[in-house]
Amino acid sequence: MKKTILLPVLSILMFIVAGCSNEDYRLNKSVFIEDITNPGLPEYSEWGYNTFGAYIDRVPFVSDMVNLPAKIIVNPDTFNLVLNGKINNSEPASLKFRIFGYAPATYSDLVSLNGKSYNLKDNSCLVELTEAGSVTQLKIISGELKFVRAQKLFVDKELVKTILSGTFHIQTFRKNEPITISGGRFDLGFGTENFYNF
Amino acid sequence: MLTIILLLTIISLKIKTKGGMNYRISEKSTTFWFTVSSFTKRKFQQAKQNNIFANKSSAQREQFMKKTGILLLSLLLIQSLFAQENHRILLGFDFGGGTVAGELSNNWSIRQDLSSYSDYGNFSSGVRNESSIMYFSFKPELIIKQNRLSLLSGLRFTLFDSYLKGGINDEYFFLRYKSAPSGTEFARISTLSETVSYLSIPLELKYVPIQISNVGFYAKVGTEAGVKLNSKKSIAFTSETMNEYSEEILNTNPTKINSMYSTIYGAFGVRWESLKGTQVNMEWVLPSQFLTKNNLSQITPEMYSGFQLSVMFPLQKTK
Repeated sequence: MKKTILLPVLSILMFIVAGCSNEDYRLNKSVFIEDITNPGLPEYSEWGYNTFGAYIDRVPFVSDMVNLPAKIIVNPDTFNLVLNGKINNSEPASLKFRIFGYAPATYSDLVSLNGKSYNLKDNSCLVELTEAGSVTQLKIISGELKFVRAQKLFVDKELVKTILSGTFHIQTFRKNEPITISGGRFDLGFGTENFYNF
Repeated sequence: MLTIILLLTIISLKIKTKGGMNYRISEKSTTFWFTVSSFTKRKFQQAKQNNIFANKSSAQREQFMKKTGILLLSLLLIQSLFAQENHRILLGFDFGGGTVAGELSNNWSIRQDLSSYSDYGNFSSGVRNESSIMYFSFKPELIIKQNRLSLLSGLRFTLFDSYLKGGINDEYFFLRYKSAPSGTEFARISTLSETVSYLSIPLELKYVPIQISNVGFYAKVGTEAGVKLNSKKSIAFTSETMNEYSEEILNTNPTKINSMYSTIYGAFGVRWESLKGTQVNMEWVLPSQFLTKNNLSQITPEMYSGFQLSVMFPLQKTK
């Protein structure tokens, strides 16, 4: 009886360990290197440091250490890039970019975004801001999301992630008042832990 | 004038120092001063014959005499510094070592890491550097001044060892060795090591201001210049499957090690001398500067410090 239970448990454990062989917790961690020309925001990088940041007017909205900084949800023909962080280091908030008609099957397909820019005022794009549990679809005055670089990351010759690095800026309304989300930058790694397609 | 010259010559023949050492009469010293006085006498006779001073005022003549006197006095002082005394020559060996301080070179693309996210701007680099220096010298030493001042030179072999390792809690670090449209390649590196050796000629000046019985405390300054003998790099991966790529990865750092090497250094030490004249020196090498660049490729070496032990044996004592 013991052997009957032990064998499948061991098999499951081995399966999990094998599946995790390409995962490296240190690559999933956030490395925040402050931009000295934009205090409070992370430096723009293309290392997969898992950070993002922008000024909402003058207030920093940046990723933190606790929450997963980004997720990509593809459902079923809409690409959703969700940035989770904090406004002014205290208020949890998330910014979601929705691009219709783009549906990568796996995280490795994200390299097709390399060098692409999206006009956020276009009908194929939507932007949502979530604050204090309240989701607001932003009315865009002007805005752009640019994927400066999309690259596959190999560690010891094995594919582990796709790194998306880029910039964004938006002019929109918040509580009926025009605001600017400026200096936006991101350097994010996507793998099996934060890429969803369903 | 001739009287002054004669007096100076007599003075130089025998001078007693405070330590009781005598400047010994040497044939060369005596010959020197008689030559000087003969030359000066001849010049004055010529001047007198040519009536050079005929139209000169007494003040001008006096000025001329003063200048000549000062010149002769200067010559006397210079000669007295090197007046023959008990020079000693020693031969010996020294062995030293220490640590090398410097900043991580930008030649390697190493992924940063973070120890504390909340400490903005205060992060660990994700990699540690351990660099050391070790050297061995063969040195002759010439003691030129009452056993207080000496000149040293010789031949020195220097070996630098430099290691890059993971952060304090990390067994490895990520090295980016390729960034192309097709993808970016990282390797998990346990250790990145480098060894460089140089052969140099040091030149040192040592001064012993305090001598108590047979123990002396000294200060030393020196410089050295040399050439590279050999350099070698190696990588240890966390995954053995990456060993076949070690040369490819090492070649991504194009930095060429400088074939020239030079430093300037200082030290404080203590010297013990036996009755037979053998000396044992122990010294602390002060933070010393590199005068040449790119002597290591993993770090930009700025200074090194450490300790040195030397043993010197008397070769001869001149009479």
